[in-house]
Amino acid sequence: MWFRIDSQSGVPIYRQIAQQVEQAVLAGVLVSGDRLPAVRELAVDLAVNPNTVVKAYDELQRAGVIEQPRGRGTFVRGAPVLPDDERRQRLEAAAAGFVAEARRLGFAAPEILGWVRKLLADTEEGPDASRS
Amino acid sequence: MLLAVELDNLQKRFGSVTALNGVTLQVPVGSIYGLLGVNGAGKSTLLRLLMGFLHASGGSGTLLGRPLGQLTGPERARLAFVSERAGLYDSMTVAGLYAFVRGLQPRWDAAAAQRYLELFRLPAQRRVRDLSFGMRSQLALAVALAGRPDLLLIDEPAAGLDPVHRRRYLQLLLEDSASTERTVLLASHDLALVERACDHVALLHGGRVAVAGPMEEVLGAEKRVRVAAPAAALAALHGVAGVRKVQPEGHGFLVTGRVDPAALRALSGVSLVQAFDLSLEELFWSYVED
Repeated sequence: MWFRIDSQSGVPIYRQIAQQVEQAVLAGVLVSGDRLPAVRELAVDLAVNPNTVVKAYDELQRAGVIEQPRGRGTFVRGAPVLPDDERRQRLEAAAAGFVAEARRLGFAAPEILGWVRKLLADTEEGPDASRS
Repeated sequence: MLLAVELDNLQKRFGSVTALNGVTLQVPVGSIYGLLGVNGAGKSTLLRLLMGFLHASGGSGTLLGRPLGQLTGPERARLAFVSERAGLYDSMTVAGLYAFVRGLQPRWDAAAAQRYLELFRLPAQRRVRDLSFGMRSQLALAVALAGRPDLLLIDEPAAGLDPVHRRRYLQLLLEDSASTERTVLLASHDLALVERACDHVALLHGGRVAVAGPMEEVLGAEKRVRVAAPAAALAALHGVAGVRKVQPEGHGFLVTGRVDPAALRALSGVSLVQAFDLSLEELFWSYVED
């Protein structure tokens, strides 16, 4: 797997690796049962510290994205399952950014809400899509 | 936590020049520890003190469990030093150098030494003086690692190597680190190399440790926050815990340090625009540029 490591971003390298695996799983590029490289292999391949890879894999394991059965390797389990408070935190951060930007651009509350409704409707799937 | 190196208020003066002005540092066993700093910050002096080439003017330290400068006789083999200036024997062939060092090194690992030759594609029959600069650096690393030291000190690793040689050099270091408990302390001003290769980092500035610790901890703690605020808020911003630097910017300030953005927002008249995690490069500049 190819990874973009950006040392200018201020995002720790272990998190960059974890995020890219997470996104590949969400996008279906990696599916349950796929094998990820061993720690040493990936560290040497990316020329990063082995502990950085250990940390990335630990984070992915905590999020339920991968499993590391002892001595048998590293395998994809499925999309991340985040604890409720972390899901809320991430949503709040994203929403706060969106609202701040909308206000800076001069939109009023009804218009901003209208956008949220439209985006929800556009991305909704299944029987709920008709509800507004 | 086991420490390979522990320094307490270490000082080194050369006449009236103070090279190290109280260095306190803890290097855990098995870590790849990056020592950052501009030229003249004291990095090389520190490595040479650890090697016992210099004596401290003050303070104390231990190295592999022994007081500084007291690793003697066969125990010296637990320690290795690689520097671009460190002499290899120019007139020997690569194979000849290997045979020579093998006789001196009680811990010499011949199989590993052979593997490094192949990895770096070093010609065994060529004389050291006829090798390219990159090959000499790789040979120096190969010789040091094959001696199986517990602590490896490297002054400017991969300096002057082209991208291909540099990558192979780093890869060997990382692969070795993943499979051994060897501690590597490397001094460098190559920020990208240190960020990638090291799990711990210390920034030497003016002969002191400005900041040190596990890489993620050091990076995670340091933030730069852009705030909108009246000029009168300057003093209040300086008073917030962890704030190291406040620079005016338009109708506001850039605040840098180990700071909680919420604590800035809590000040009256101050509104938060954006908070950034510092990259290692930004962190470096924030300490060095004053």
